[in-house]
Amino acid sequence: MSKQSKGSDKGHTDGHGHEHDPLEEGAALRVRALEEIVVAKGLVDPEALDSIVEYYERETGPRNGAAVVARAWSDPEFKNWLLQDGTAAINSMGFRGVQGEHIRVIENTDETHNVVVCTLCSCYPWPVLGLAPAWYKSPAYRSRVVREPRVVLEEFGFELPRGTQVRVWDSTAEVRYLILPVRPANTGDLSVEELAQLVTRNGMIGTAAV
Amino acid sequence: MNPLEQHRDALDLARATLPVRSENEPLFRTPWHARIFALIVALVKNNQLPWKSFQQRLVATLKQHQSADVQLTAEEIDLQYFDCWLIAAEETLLEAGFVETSDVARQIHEIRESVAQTRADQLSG
Repeated sequence: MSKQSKGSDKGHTDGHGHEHDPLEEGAALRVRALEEIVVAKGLVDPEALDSIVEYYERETGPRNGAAVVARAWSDPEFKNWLLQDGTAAINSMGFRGVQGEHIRVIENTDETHNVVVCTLCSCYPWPVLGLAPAWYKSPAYRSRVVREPRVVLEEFGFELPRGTQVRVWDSTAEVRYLILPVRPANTGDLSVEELAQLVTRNGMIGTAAV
Repeated sequence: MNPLEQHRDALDLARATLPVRSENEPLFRTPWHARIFALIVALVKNNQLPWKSFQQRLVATLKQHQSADVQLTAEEIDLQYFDCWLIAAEETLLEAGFVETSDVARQIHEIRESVAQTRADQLSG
């Protein structure tokens, strides 16, 4: 299917009249060529590529992580499991990574606030947070949050109480971190679903309180 | 069917089902970002490639191309990041013996020819 037929095949004229045909960009052309070679060798199935893209577009994302956090806030047993074996507890909710990565969950407390970075590239807990936002991939965040975490957090509009310590966790290909934020005050009567709505992506990276 | 177009359809379908996102950044800014991302993920998933071997190349490539001193917009960060991703992906595929430099050049040439031919046919038809 992804084999490009040659000659006067009129079956794929769609899109070729566009002003910005992606095939005229060097990178798009290159990617197309790489994909066709790898597919022709039977190493990957083109439909598997489509389903991967669709999966990341639709099924992963911070809402998965928010569901995990809300459950931990409401279910002490689950929370213990999550903190002891994040990978297994998260898998039990149906969120799995493709790279066999481990997810370690770190709990924020009034004494210690935690923030995650990947200083080398952008290792990130995909199954629970989706794909990393641009700022997480920026060289500025990656280098500065380690050196001056408080300043960086302030730039996110997040001012930590003076007495709270900050710990920075550096993700690797093997271990990804998810932050379990402190449950906000006066949320005792909220359902798990309502709690999940309070949780933001940045809260689970540590660049916001919740 | 043109795989790029097919992919775009899939993206549109997927996007349509997405809830309104508080973060206004798109997941992939161009179709090829999604494509090269998925290609590496698929190879890892099929156990054709250890994630680590790709990741180490990505790290090295980012190191070469990025500077913490330059202020970039979110879009620029993404574009640069996926440029690095593509370089690392191609190096990984070459190293694994899945592709050869001459294959890539030939395939690009064939795609170009086929696109040119299709356009010529459209104009004459």
